[in-house]
Amino acid sequence: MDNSLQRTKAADIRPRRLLDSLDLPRPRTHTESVAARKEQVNEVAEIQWYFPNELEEVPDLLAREGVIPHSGGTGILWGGMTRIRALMDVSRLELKFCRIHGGTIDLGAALSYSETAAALGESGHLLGRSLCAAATEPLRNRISLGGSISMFPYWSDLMGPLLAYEAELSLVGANGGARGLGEYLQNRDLRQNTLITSIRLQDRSWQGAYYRHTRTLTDRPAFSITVLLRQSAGRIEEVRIVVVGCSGRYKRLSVVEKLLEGSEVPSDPSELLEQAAQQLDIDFSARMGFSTEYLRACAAIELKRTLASALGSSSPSKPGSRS
Amino acid sequence: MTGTLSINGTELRISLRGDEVLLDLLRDLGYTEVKEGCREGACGSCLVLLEGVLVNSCQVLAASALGREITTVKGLGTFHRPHPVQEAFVEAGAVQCGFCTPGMVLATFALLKKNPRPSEEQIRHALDGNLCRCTGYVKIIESVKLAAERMAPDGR
Repeated sequence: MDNSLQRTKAADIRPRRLLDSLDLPRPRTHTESVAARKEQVNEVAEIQWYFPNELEEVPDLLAREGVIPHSGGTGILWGGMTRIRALMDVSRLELKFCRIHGGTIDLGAALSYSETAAALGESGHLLGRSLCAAATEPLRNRISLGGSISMFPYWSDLMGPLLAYEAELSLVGANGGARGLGEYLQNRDLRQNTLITSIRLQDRSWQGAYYRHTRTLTDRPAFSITVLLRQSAGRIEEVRIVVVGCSGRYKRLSVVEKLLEGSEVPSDPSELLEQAAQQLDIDFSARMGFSTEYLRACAAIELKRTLASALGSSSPSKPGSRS
Repeated sequence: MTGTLSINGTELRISLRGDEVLLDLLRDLGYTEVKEGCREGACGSCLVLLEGVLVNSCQVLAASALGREITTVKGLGTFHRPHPVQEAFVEAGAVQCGFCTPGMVLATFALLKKNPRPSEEQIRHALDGNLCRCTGYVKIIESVKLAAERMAPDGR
């Protein structure tokens, strides 16, 4: 028997030979890839990138036309890159810090959700718990506080707690200084040529609960409810309730807050909670397959549950639902 | 624009477009173990470690990664010297079509680096950004537990 012929036949049926016989384009080598990329680069108009190392460089850069701050999050990609002319990467600035002192928490605007949750204690602080429930692990590692505030999508798991804590922002650039978060959100001009550098929370001893309305754990919430309250001698001393995702993007439920403040908390608070839900005056746009009526009905039910959870204040943190 | 990237310990000088995402850059450079799935940050096929932090490379602008260190799944171990996480995935039968596996392995590696003894709930939470359409996740969760057991004694 001719052994050499046998070996040839065996070689013929190797996958590589089969692929060759199909006459497919040959995969590029590494060197060819790099060369092809260089050609491609020369054809496309460049987005200008700036990498400031010091905060002092920021106002000048922001004053240039079309420069948008980028701290690593996903919002710019989601918005589309076609209209972007210049990006300022803020990762080299010292904007990743968490300082807790005397009931005040200062958070650097470039902190990611994961970093913030870790700094605040994932199962302790309400903000840490809400951020732990947001998006997915690799996205939580990228989405930054500053970018999330300036973009403010309706599904934000950050904004409800920040609005309830009545956070204050430090800004640098054309509208530099300290501003309340509410003021920043209502006056769009404040965002022009301005960078958020830090967020300050007054962290008194609140009982809190956070609810996000989703179908699955990693869904974006159709709406979220944040409740912060303080009780003293069996009465509700102060309460703050924020719904995010409704018409107008967010709403502070001041009518419900007024109803609850000063109320005695009975051992069975269901009647009080029912009254609170009846005072809910809120609208939604239809989204994610939910009708406006459905969302309103869900919000009323979940408001009662979230308030009950805050009054009990010991419900375990569970991502994707109530925490 | 041009700059340097360190990929799996190798420093590379590269040219890139300002609007390019890290996924495209890595694949063009031949790192095809970084898989392209949804391009929306939902599936976890394109996961890499950026400075040791797990990220969706489809959601990272490549220019923002310049000067940084990137690890793909091939940076963890080789065919002949696999990482304990890679071994655990094979032994537990957590690999079927294999498309999600690079992302799953990196997510597991990142979890065990932070938390060497995770509970099942913590494992599920850490892998919430990875989709697998074959296994139903049972074997994957088992392999994470196996890797945690194997890595615990010597802290490798």
